[in-house]
Amino acid sequence: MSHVKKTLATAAVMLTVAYGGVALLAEDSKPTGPDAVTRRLSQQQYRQVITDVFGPTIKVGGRFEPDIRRDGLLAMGSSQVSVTASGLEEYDKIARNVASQVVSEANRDTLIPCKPANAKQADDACASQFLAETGRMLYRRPLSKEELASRVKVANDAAVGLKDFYSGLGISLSTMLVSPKFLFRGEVAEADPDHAGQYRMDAYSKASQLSFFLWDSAPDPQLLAAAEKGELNTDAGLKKQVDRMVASPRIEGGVRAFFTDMLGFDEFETLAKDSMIFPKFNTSVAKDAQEQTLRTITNLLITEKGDYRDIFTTRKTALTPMLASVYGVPLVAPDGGWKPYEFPETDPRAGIISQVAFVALHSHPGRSSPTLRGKAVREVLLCQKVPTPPANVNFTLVQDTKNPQYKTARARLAAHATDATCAGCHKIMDPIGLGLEEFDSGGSLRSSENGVEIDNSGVLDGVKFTDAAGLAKAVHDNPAAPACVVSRAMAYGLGRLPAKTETGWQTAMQDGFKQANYRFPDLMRAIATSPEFYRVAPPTMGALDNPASKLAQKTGNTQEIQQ
Amino acid sequence: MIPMNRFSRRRMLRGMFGGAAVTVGLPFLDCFLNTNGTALADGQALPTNFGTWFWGLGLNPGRWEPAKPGKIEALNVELQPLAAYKDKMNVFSGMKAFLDGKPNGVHFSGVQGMLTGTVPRGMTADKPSVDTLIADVIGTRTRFRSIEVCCAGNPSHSQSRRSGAVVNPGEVSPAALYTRIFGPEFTDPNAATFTPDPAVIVRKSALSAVTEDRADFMKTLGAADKARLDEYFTSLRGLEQQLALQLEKPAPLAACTVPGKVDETPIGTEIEMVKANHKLFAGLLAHALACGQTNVVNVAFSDATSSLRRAGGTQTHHEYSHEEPVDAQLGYQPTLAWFFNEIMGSLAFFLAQLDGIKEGDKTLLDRTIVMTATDLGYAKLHGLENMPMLTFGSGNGKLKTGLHIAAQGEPTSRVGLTLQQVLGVPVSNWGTDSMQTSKTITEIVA
Amino acid sequence: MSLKSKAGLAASLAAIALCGLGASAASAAETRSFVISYFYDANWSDGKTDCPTGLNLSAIDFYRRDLAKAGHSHDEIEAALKDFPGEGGLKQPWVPLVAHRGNGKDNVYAHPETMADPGMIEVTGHYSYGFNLDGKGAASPSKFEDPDTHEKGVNNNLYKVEGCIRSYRGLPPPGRPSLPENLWDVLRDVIPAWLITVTAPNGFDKDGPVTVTWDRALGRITRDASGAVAQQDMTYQVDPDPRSHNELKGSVKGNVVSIEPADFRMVLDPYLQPEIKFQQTHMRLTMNADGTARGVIGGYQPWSTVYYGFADQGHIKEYAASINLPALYYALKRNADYDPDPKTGENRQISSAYIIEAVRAFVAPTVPNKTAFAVAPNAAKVQ
Repeated sequence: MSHVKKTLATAAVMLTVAYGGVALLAEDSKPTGPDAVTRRLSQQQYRQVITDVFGPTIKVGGRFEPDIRRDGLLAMGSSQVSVTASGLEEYDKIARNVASQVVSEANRDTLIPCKPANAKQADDACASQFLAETGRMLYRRPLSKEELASRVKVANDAAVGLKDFYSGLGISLSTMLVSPKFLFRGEVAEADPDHAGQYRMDAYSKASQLSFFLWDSAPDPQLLAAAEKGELNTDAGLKKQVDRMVASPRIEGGVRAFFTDMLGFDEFETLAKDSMIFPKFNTSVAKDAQEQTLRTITNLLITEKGDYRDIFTTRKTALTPMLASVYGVPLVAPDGGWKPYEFPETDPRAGIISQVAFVALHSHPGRSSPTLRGKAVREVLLCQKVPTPPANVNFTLVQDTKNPQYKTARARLAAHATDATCAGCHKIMDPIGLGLEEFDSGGSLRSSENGVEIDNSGVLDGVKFTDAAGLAKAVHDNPAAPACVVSRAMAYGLGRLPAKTETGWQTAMQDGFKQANYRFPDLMRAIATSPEFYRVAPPTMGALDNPASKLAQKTGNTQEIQQ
Repeated sequence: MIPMNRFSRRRMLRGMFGGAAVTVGLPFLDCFLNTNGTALADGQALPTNFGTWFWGLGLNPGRWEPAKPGKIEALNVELQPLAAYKDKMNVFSGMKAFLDGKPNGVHFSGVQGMLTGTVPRGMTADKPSVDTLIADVIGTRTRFRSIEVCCAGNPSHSQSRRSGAVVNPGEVSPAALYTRIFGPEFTDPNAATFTPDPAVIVRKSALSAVTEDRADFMKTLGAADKARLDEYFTSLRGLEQQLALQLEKPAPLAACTVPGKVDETPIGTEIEMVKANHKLFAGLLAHALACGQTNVVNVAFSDATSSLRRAGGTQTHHEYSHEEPVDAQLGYQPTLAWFFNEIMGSLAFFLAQLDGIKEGDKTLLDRTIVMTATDLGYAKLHGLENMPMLTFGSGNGKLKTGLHIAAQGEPTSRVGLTLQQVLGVPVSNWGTDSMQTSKTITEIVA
Repeated sequence: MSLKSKAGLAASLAAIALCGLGASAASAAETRSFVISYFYDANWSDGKTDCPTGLNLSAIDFYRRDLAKAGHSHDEIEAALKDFPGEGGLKQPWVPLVAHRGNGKDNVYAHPETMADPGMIEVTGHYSYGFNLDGKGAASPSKFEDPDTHEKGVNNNLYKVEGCIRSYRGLPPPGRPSLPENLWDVLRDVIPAWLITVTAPNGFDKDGPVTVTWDRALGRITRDASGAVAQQDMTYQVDPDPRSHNELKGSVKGNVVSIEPADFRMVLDPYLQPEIKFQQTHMRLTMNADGTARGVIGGYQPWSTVYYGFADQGHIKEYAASINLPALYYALKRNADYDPDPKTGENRQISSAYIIEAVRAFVAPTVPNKTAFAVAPNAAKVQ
């Protein structure tokens, strides 16, 4: 073992799964870490990577496969989805479209670093240069010799077939863009020389883990260089990169991506409001409302370096004129764009829970829903699971907003909850959501429903309140709120739920968040610098039968060694 | 809006249970799904067609929208002539053109928004219409990239344009169209020799490089992930198979027949004349599609400022829109409603021509998507709110049908975007200013 | 809910919000602001009694009549009108003919007096929206009674002229006359919004004096999700252009605001008419609890402005809306009822009234040196 360790340490390279696996499993048969996850790039990530690699002039056009939500996050779903037949057809179209733009006459001079000797013929050298450089960015690691040779051959063959170097290069590029090596990000394990019997991601997998977590995109050249040099395997090297990335303006993209996911804003795609009942709520209001909440969050967490819990109480936000009309406040913005805005203390709006995005998203098309809103506070913001309702519940009473006897949602829910099978669950949701009843399903303020004054009082985990600001404070002070964002951020970064063996790490992250005064970028930094964030088990199956490849090659990579 | 069914059941199964439970047992299939996964592709699907059908002045609000969003249970009164296609059509209500402060070029801005995704600043269009964008994908291997007809006598009524200045002029004479398609230059599609597309040969060969990625990528994966990637590679084989089919001689167009010769007919704006010419055009276009002469057809039933008029009448459809009072009892302009009934009846006739051509247990309409277009929402106002939009046919199962999509003031360009996407145009974002949209109408995507 | 800051306020948002709220809290003064959603000719109709002898001819029929009178042969006329109206790019041989149907060489829209008055069927009914502008009440030569207020002697000769033209005939409320509704609906997406602000120094709880201001905004109205109505509670900035700034004294009684007679001017758009300019302006505006407001404004305005607003598009408006422009010219001239020319004695202004439909809005102060954009007059054409 010591020999192996020494080899690894001195070579400072990515060791093969196979080699390490055999050796260490033989020596130590205990489980060695959580299973590796393989995640499909999200639509946003795909777009961002193309922009990062080829610049913003290259447009990504096409319809992506839908993402799915698991355990509260699309990021978790990304490690469960595959690519369907129709999905691959779309990826293929998108890839060919991107590739043809890259090699087009308008772009080739800036995006292709070399010129062929003859543009009507294949050119091995130029194809190799372009495909090696681009492939490294797309696959997030250098291509093996075989990989590169295979892609160059595609380019050459196609150039011959089509009598055009650039068309051939485009075809080859498009095959990279549909390759699972681009569309999926896998985690390659290697033995951890510092922790006997344990595995860690190889440096390139680490770079991706880091980059998608902090920036929602693939590693930039600096990060890849750090991986290549082995710097990510040292605490100092890792910290240096994390500090650089957290300090970069691109952290905002990462924070936005995380909260867009955590707050379930993909649901806006399907949000509908009855325009007869809520004439103010239109498509631009829906779009602006999400942006408002994201701006509130990024302003507080990044610009002001504030306390995460204050997202529930802050009155500082930003509005567009259209959104201001829904809030019923004046806003002068001659260009129709965003203006910073602070709700006065007299205004019932405080924090993201009372913003249009939250109250409108968690409502029915034609009426508010204390139940849905309460459920969302529990599940989305406090990470608590609310049981699904029993089948065959009669909701007639709750839905009948014209019921002459029960004029408010509070009264209707009270009547509904006389059914004992319903009462248990409603008890944990409704008293929260009732604090938001002064905001209708379209997000506008109201003081009465069917002529009856609205009572906004409620209770959250024993804390009573009388209005939305009180609810905001109760969520702010609830220890589950910061705990929730910590566990969501971890799961978001890992693409899986933290394992049972990782409870110590979780606790450390929770405690650290508190000690950092709940500063969110500090939490991201702490997660990203944890060795656990890169811990991974070797694959249970794979090329375990290839002990011949014992020597790691300095410029090689895992795949190459495995073969 | 109908409760959004964002994933087809099939995707749901594959996605939600993440490969492990559902796809782990799937062998590496040696038989191939067709592109839609609806059937095994032991035969080749016939080509998918696209068509537009334009008329002027919209419809009367409140009289065409189905009662409820979701499955269309019954058609509203002004769509009654289309009742036979209730299950083969979609109705889109609540969609509008956004001017963003640009002048309302009445009879112009609305239809440009619908068909080009852009409301021009002046009275000159500056973007290509959706049919040309689709024709660039599905119409490249046919004799005609597209065929346009104008039923009210003026070639400039055509709404199909490559760019602002380049309008694809419509044929106004059915007899001339007959000669153009079925005259001496007509070639029997089933007799023609077949030359494989070199671009497809190259693409197919290139995809083998992706297949080669399989071995080393799989090595890094656990069992569950391997199953997921197996599904990916199954999809890849499907794609390769699709390309392989494109390299074979296409399936015979068994339903292709040459229609009888069409004689010269009187041309004008009087509605019976327009209807008669439209009937001839409809028959010819259906045969042209069935015989693979084109995959894209565009019909302009009238001009945007509908100058249709009744036999012997002096006022045009358009004048009635301004001058006819709303009948206090009925709540709408009755003569306008009469015109709309005639127009929808003609649309039904057009669809009947497509649906009347049987191809196995399907019809020509089933492998076609027809999108309607018009210039206004409520003619009386010449407004651009709630502009009626309809689609017919599923385009070889690419589109779900029988649905009413009730939007709330969303841009009409959403329909154009969605149809481009299902017909293979690589676009995720279409239109300009507030007409720009990336919101696919996922409810209708099969 | 609304605020209208006078002068000296910083344009920053916080300042506006705080000053607005602070001002209304400190004194009893209250302000309500509205943006106009619809503005159109106040043409009343019950479908019967307004035009008992029928409506004016539609275009093709008055063209046949006028061209025959001008000496054209039947065959010549029918040949020209064969493809009438020939929209959408067809040849329109009738256009030069009808445009010169007076003396055969001058354009009748610019020179209507080159043809004899073809005649106009005018309103002869009992009711009309509007005001008793001449103060003569029941003794007024006008026999109109307002159907809502039952005021007698209502002066609204513009309605008398227009009311039996097919496209201008009124509808039972809340119906709007067809073409005026259409024109405003098209226009409001491109012209600066019109704003009304009512300030009550003693609040709206009791009857008393108010100040009413009319202004143009720097921006357009925003439609709500239905598209038919303006979005409530949007913020508009006032265009400092003095041509469209009107400060009017008035009073509030219950929820109805009225003004003392005054001069009034709002810049409009050549698409409709270049401006609305009244003397002896009257207004009543009902402010509803749901944030909407509805009312009527009227006064005497130069009839030539009205005529050239119609005539600007010549044959297009004539045939598309069946308005015989020379007939309109003579009818307006004949019915002008105010401001006699000292030389000729002919009246230069005509009594008129327009319906106002509005929704609640915020009105923010003027930004110096910034005026509303102009709209190209020929960009939007009536068809």
